[in-house]
Amino acid sequence: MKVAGRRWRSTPWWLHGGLLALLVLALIVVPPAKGGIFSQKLALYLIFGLLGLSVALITGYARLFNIGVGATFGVSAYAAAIATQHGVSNPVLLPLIGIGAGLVVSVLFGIFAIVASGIQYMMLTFLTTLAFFEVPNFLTKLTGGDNGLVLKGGLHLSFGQNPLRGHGFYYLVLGVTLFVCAVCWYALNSQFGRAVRAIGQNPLRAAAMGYEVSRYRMALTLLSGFVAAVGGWLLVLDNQFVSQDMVGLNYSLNGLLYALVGGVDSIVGPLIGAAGFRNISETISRHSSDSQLFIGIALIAIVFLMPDDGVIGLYRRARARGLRGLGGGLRSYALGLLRMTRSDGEAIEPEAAAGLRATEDAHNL
Amino acid sequence: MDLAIRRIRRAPLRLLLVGLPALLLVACSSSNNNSSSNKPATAVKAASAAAPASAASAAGTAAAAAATKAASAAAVTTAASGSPAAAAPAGPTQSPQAQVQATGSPIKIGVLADLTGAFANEGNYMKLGVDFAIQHINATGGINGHKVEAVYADPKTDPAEAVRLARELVQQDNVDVLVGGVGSNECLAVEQQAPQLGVLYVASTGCASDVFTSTACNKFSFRVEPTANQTTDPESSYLIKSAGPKWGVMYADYAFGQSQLKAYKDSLGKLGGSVTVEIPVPLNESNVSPYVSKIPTDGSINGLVVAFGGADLVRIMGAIQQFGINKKVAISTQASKDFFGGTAPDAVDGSIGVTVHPTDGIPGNTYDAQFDADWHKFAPQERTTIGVHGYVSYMAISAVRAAGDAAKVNGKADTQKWITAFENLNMPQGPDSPTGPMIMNKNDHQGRMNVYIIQEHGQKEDILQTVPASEVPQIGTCQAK
Repeated sequence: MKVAGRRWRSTPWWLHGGLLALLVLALIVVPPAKGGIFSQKLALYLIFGLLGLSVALITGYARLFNIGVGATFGVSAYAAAIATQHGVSNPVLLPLIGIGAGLVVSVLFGIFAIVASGIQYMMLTFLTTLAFFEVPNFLTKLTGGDNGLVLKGGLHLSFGQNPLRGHGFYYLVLGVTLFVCAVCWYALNSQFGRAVRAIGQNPLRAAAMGYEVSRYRMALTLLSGFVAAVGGWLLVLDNQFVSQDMVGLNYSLNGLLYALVGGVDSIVGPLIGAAGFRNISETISRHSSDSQLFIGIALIAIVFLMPDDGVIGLYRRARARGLRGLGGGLRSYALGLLRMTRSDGEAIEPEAAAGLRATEDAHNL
Repeated sequence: MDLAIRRIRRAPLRLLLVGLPALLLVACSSSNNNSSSNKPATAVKAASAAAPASAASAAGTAAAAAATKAASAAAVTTAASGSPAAAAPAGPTQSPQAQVQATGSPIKIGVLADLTGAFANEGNYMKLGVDFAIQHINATGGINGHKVEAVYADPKTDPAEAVRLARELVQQDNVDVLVGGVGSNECLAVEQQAPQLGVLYVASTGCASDVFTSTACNKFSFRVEPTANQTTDPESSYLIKSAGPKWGVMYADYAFGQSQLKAYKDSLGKLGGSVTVEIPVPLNESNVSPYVSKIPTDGSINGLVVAFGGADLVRIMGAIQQFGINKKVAISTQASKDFFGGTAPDAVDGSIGVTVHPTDGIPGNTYDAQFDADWHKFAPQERTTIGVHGYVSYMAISAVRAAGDAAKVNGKADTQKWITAFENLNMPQGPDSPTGPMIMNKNDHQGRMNVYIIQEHGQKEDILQTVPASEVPQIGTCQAK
């Protein structure tokens, strides 16, 4: 596949694996070495990274714009908190309750994915999320209303790990996150994943080839819901508190941001996007009361200057050039950006760039 | 046109179109920050960098301050033995002027001030009140001789953000005390963290939900401002006397408003009145006309309680005035004139309200008069009054100081001693508590202050009745442990 006069090469699997192993090793070793509250921050980044990953699954692979992932995330958190208010104290049962509640919400979004697509699907998810935001106000006794709800049961619920002390809770979050990523990787690199990609690119063509589009969309929505629900459960363990904001649009849109910034069609990308974006926001907030303004400007710059596939796209371009490194990738991207605008002012269609991704190795993360 | 659009899609021009407005926005934002009296939140705010002029004005209150500190220590001892002490004598004590500068390692107070978001007005007043209190404290000996500094963080009305910032303030910035949060959900979320963080947490401005101390109380968390039935009980007797027994309640449909509805229903019910009409309005609702049109003017209610805060209150009262409802039905708000930026709209003329800090001062209270004079020297020109929001945050910091002095704390390591002193706190009237005493209830960590029933007459705010702190009712039966 040629784009802007370049030929892209595939990369050995062992390089992928090595880099991933290094990343995981760094996540294990660096936080305790760094000390302070670094592991607490990283735990939160991973939790929100799961939110971004759930958006990336449905948006990047199935090409469905779901603005309701925050509802799944928040419902799971609420289900866990409500369960503890009613005497549930089993740390294994609690995530099952949260994930179960999240999957119920996902079934609803899955039905939307079957009956609608494009703008209609987006609006359905948007309005449903708005409705979910009002539910705590109607069920005040159950949810605490606008006061929110406390998680009762103490540290036992997080297997004895204190989110505020030591690194045990961080390793719990890391372990769960790695498990979820492994599940997603397995699913997306199987026949199921190939079918989902094909459906995402052209559902009519996929249906003509014999794939049951509605079944695959429902399955992917449930997978996305599973990831979001796990994130919601972990967040309520971390905060020991759940509030109405968690089922609102804010969380959904934040998840979309993390996925877009990091790479909407990758597994590691949303995790990187969440960590990077949240870190930038927190740093700006500490130094300015006009932080929202600067965050907005940073976001505009990121969206304009990043490749379509976010931060992970820079890595892919650098990797495709072998050992030239990230600098070569950046230079190549910048040249490509200029060359993509032909002399008559017409830009090359994005599918040409998307075609590059379709030829990538299946082990691509 | 088509060619123009194609040209705009060229990358360098795109960058220019994005970058230039971005630079302009940043430049405008920077110039606004420089001219604004509310400086951006910084990691460490050295409130001890007070101008000499303001330190000199604080010296005028230092005489009473020295006496107050001694009285505070005595009051703590007295309260510890059982029943709450009576309020200290009203006049200032005659003693030589003394300006005691704070020395020693600083005690840091982490302040969760919502400078942006739905409660930005309250958050900005909170910051002003805290800065004003710290300036006064540092000029009169600090806390047990230690200088006091504030470290600000803006949770932007997000409870999860409030939790994250509370942790950062304690574990990264090493603050010794936590204060603030405006929204009730923020305060309740941080209240749950306080025991795990092992830090004293004092709610100040906002945090109006009764749940904070009536059901969710814990050993580490305190609130100084009376709320819910503590204010509605005294006010309700006046509402029934002034207008009649049948009342409607229009309220913001979230924690604060729902809490107010419950409080008025209970309070009016106890005195033979009733709430016959309830009109919930979504928080931050921009179009309030459909809700205001629901207010009956056929005589089925004698009056209407309007339970809102911030911009919602201004919007609702404006609509009530526009519809002419205030001429047909008695209106009661919990707001004083400062809720409307210092100028009360016509709609509140004649309305009865309740406050812990009357906007026009308290006749015969020299401490309050001096406090107002000091405020005018400290405050930015547009903030003509400290308002109840600023006053409550001033009181929160004052209470932290009084308890810290009584326990002779040196920092977070003395949190347990600080808590014990706070539980037994009985601050007499003085420069640290100018309107009247502040009595802390040991069981639920809820403070009681003088409550003033006020009535608006044009731009004048009259005090109809003063309910002493010792007669303010308890908020609930929670046991802080």
